[in-house]
Amino acid sequence: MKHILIVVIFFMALNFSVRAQKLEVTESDYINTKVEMADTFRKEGKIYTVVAIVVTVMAGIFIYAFLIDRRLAVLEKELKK
Amino acid sequence: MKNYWWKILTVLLVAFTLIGGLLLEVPRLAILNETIRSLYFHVPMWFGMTILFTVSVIYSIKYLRSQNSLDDFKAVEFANAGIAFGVLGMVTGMIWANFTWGEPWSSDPKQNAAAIALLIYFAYMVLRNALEDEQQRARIGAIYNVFAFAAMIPLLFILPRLTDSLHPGNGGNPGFNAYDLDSKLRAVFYPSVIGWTLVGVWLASLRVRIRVVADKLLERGS
Repeated sequence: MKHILIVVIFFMALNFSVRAQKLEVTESDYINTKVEMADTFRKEGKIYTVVAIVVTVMAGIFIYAFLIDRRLAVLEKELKK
Repeated sequence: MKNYWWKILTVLLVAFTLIGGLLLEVPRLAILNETIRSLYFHVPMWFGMTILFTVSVIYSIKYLRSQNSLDDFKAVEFANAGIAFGVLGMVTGMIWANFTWGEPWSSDPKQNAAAIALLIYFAYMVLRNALEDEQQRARIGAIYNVFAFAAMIPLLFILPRLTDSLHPGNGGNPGFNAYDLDSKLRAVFYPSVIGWTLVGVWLASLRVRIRVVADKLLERGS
């Protein structure tokens, strides 16, 4: 029990000291329009094209990985016989 | 199905990272601008590498206790996957740094330390390949891996924090210093770390299984 308390206090202290050093991201950072972002690009919906392409590539690579996995499983089964 | 669930989880987590990482709201921070989204892809490479190297060193220690070659296979392949992640982390970091810090390599303490850590792990592979005898290779490799891990941790997590670094959270550098305190960034960042790490585990496990099959075939041949 005592040990748990010590660990908890240690992590709380660590957390506070880390927080004190860091520059926090605040709500105002989310609405700060002075910083340039890809707003027009997003408004026009072009970002969805990018997402679609990236996800398609990812899906293809994962399907490929699954096929390799299956072929290896067949080999393992064969070797067990 | 029983063994496949975590692979499906991997796919879902990575898909969420790609979609959420590109579409969800991020803070508008100077210098970083839209590139803050690299946080979901660059940093998880290093987290993944550290986790994979940790798994590797655990299997190396297990090998030293058990002398079971399966433990050695796991140690090597998790280290291999970790190296792949480390190289990706390095390259993505240089691309990102070129935009935010003005040059790909600013000899930042963390960059240098990461390069040294990777070289130590390259040497692990070179050392293994230099040894002919299988048992000797496994044993010396396992011992070296323990030392490599013991060098990697301070190089990446302690030394860069003692001096000023361009990396957030080291020295007094702002930027997105507080990314891990911001709940919106965290919502994508943590799933991303788990997802990418699982990709590494999957690839490592495939290579371990290939090694086991090859080993059995060799046994049969002789």
